[in-house]
Amino acid sequence: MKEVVITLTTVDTVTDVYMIYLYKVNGLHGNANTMIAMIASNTVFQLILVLVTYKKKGWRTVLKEWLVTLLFMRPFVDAWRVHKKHDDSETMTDPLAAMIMNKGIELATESIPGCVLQCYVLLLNPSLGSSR
Amino acid sequence: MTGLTSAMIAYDVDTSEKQRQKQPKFYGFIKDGRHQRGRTFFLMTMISTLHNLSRSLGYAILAVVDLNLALRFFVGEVGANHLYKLLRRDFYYWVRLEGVLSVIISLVERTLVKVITDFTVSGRVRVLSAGGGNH
Repeated sequence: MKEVVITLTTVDTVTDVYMIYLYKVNGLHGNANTMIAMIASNTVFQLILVLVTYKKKGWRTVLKEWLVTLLFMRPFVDAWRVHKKHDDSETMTDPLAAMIMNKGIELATESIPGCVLQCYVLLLNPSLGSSR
Repeated sequence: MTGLTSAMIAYDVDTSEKQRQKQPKFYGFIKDGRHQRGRTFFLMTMISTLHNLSRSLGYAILAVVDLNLALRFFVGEVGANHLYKLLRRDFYYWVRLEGVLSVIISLVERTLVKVITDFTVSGRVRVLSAGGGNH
């Protein structure tokens, strides 16, 4: 089940990038920038979570985990750790809790506001994205 | 996609052996068995997706009419929840922090959980340390 959702989450990132491109092309720069701000806030919150979770393990681990987040590989890595029942006593949370926290941050800062924004833009520009 | 993620969070926690052992009265609403689990997951996804769509569309219509009104509505909704939590002395998040940091982290966490609860009705956030009674 997780594998399907993780793959779809990555596809979701690609569709977000496409939405930004579509808004920019159609001159909706304000909306495109709002979408970028949502993705940025999602990344910032996840970076803070990484810092809190891996603080005890030292800066080298924190930097490695930050890189995973910045490359949008977090869903894959979290799913892999849950699947392998990865156990690390030095981290603040177990892999399942970490995955849920990251998913929660993504939902609240990117997916839900993104959905509201896309509905708003579509209501104001009904022909957006259509070939006519 | 939002509904799917929300359902996955609730599904993963509820079917976790560790969680079921820890709190058997709280976790376990998803029955064992491949078909039951699949059916429950599908229904949770549909509930979250439809709920998110109705709320998002409602907010979007409000924003089209008056953007400031939509923002005020959001602040009012979240503010009322925080006020309720403060009055019940339940505002601080369970992570042990001190000073201003504890207020900031609690404020961020309570706001994020409120947004997830309102837009997805995820089964996970009804846990007392997260959404609690406002679910």
